[in-house]
Amino acid sequence: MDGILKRFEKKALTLEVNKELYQKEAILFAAHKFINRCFITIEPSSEKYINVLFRPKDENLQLDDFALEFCNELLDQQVRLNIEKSYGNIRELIVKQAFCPIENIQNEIKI
Amino acid sequence: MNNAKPYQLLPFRFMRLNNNKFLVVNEVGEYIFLPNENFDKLVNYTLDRQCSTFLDLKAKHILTDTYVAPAIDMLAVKYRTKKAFLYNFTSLHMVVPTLRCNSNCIYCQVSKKDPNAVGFDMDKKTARKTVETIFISPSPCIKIEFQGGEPLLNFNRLKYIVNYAQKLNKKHKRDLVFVVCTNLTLITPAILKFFKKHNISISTSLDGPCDLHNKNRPLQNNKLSHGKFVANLKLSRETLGRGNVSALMTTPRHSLDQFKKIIDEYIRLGFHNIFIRNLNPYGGAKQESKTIGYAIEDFVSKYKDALNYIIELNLKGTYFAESFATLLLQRILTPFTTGFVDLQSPAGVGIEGAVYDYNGNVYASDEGRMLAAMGDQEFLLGNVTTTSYSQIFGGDKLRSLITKSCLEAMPICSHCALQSYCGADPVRNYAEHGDVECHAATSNTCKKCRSILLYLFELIERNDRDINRVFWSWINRSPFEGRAEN
Amino acid sequence: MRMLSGCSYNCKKPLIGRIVKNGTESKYKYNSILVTDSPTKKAIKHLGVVTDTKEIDSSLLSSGVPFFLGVARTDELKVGDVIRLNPDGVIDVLYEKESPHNALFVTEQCNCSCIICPQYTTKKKSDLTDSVLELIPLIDPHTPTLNITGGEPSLLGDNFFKIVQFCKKYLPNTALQVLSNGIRFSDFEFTKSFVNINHPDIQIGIPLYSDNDTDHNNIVQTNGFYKTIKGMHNLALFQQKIEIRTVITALNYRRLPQLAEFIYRNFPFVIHIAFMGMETRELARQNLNQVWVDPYEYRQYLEDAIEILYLRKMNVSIYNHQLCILPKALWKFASKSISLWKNIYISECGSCTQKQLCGGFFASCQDIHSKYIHAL
Repeated sequence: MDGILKRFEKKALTLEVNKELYQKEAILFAAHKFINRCFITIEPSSEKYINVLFRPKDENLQLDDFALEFCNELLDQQVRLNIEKSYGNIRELIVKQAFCPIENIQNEIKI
Repeated sequence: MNNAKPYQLLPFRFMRLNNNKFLVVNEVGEYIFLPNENFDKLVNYTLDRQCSTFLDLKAKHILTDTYVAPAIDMLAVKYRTKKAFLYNFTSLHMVVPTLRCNSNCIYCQVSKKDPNAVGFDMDKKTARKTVETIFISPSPCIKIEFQGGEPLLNFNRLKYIVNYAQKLNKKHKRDLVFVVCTNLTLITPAILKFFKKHNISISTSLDGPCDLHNKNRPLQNNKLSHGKFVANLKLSRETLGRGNVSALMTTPRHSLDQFKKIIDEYIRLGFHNIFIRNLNPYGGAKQESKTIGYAIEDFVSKYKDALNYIIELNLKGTYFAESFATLLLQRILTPFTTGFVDLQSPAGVGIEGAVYDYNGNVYASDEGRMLAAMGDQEFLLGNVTTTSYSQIFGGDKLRSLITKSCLEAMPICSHCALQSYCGADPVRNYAEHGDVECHAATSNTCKKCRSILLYLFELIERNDRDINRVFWSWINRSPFEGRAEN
Repeated sequence: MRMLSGCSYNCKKPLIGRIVKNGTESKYKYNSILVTDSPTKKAIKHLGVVTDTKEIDSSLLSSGVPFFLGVARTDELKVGDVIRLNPDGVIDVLYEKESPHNALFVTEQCNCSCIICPQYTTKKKSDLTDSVLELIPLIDPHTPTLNITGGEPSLLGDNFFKIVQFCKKYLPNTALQVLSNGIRFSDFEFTKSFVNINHPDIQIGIPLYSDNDTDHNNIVQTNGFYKTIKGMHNLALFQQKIEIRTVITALNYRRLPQLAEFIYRNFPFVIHIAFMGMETRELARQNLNQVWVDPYEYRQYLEDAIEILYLRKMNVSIYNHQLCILPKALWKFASKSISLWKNIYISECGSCTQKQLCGGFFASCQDIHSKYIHAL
């Protein structure tokens, strides 16, 4: 996995995530989705890396598979953040136009 | 187009469906299935502009390589359409004429009282103020739904409310309808005559065939209800017409394995649809959860089996719909709004529906009333005799509740691909984990909706002509091509 | 429109009048044109006379009344039809009383150049309002429907409104269908003025060829897609009746199902959708290589598109297709849509058992049709 290092210790999983590839928000959003299955701690580990520590709530959780799942989610969240930047204010304009129509939409678009 | 980008992405949400594809949904709930490769190309701006996938995405306003403003325009029209349930403000008004009940349902959420109890009936003054408050709502459509207890135990007050509402409506000229939620055991020809005269329809509960129904819904004094129910159902239908009597069910644990039998009973008794509902975490249901509760995953698994069974019945020629699936299918397949108070964004509490208790207390939802009966007044908005309409419906309490019940602003929900089809239920959230916001990661509602939605998408993706025809017959509320009804 | 011709005498400018025949001469008090095989002195009290006879008494000609001699097929002219006598001897049949398909041609000007257009159109100004306003009062007020077409009628601006107004006044019981690309209706004020005429029964038929601007604009040869859509939305704001018309060509048949879904999601308010076979005249004929596709080849796409709309309870029809090349499940959507005067059957039809129900062909398509035509 590019930019993610895995460490299994006792019954916990630590993922070291490269800050240059994944934004903090992506890590937070991804981690939040798994709080029903693990206790999660997030802290910086070095200049380039953030540590995400997972302690499973159910000891039968397969940490290997779980790690893969989290990595996919992290990737999706980062892709989402990248895409969201490209929308500019389009989403706001859609809602505005729906409820409080704008005279000239073209002039308001900022992308 | 500006920049060096070959096309501009328009707002969309996505999720992985399995290992080889994504579900992509635009801002107004229009969806497309993209194989991994195409999704990758889409987000990396390398999708071929001549290919049919590119044109599909353009038609669904997920990208544009020409103009942005017209896409915004078209999306805005559809967005407004999807949120049209907000326009009328409160249209569903649930009125509780009495807390007394002659039933003893094992999962009762209401903290009902004995039929002979005193002090739990709505008095005339409160009834009057309730109706007057209802008509201050700006909605052109008003539905007054009698709940309880068993409303027929205070039939006189019910009559008074209907008559007074109709009197006021001569001036207000709204589209006024009445529904009575009743266990049907106390129905008499005289009551039905009144119902017919005032165009009142009936919503009742049918939990399954005789044994199951009696187990779940015994009357007080351990009397059995199924026999009376069936007889009165027939009588009600004959007087009011089949379309004016509907039924729903509740699912305690022992019903989970009985869905097929329950569905068969509904068909036997001539119903055309069933609403398979899981147990709510309120009142008696919460207290009894050890005996009648279950994990939501169990419910979902049985629900899917039941849905498959119902689809099979339809394919063999019996027109019969499942109501929750129908609601979700309307949200996925049509551009139109659906007004389902318990699952929408912003939530329907107060702004779509409100509850007027026997003592004049106004609650943001029926579940809010149930919590109050257990001692928690979190969702009390006011009282018709002491609080003004603007304080009840425009006060800080309701405003704050609504602000916290928009999926668009919740973590996880705000970027969930299924957001357009889902909704918030702040009262349920509060009952389940102590605060009104959605905690999607841990919420049972999320698990349920997500599983069922993904299953429906699986069926939709097959693009099976016959299954599509079944789905649309449910949405249209009529059999495909006039095929004979059961 | 239907046309006849003969030798014209005394016709210095075009004349519009209503047909009467022997025995019905007094049916119309004014603007009557007599169609007869043997003109007598009584003939000259009419506005004009049409006859198949090649020679008549010179005293009749010296009356100054326009005479059209040697006109063939006068039996095609019926009492109550409205015709225009032209100085060059051409007789235009502007209105046919017994036809269900009558149209007011109000202009030849158009702001599109659809590559499948079967009409002659021009980008130059063309305004036929005056003769249309003359025609309208002569149309039988029991006429159930009337099209307003061109070119692009909305280009006439106020004159367009005037024509609709005239129809409202003289033909209050006649339903109108305006055939328009909808582009001018993208102007909100224009739409408002149109709606303010308050015609009791009017609908707009608007062509939409695809679910995306690239394909649609390629067919209409102008940047019209989003303006047409805006026009439809403006009309819908005023709850006007809109029909979507889609001519099926080689350029758009593959996306018919996607178009059906697009229509449902974005224009669920339209009262009707018509999938139409091409009429291979004018530009359509010129572009034949580019646009022609055998309808038999796209029957599955058409069936899928119709299934999508039918399930969603949209009102949908198939125009200008023959029954033998349509899947049987689609027969109930097919209508007899071709104007009588240009409607034919071909030799392959033979003694087909479905001729009564089948719409047949355009006269212009005698040589251009599916190679799968066969008698049923």
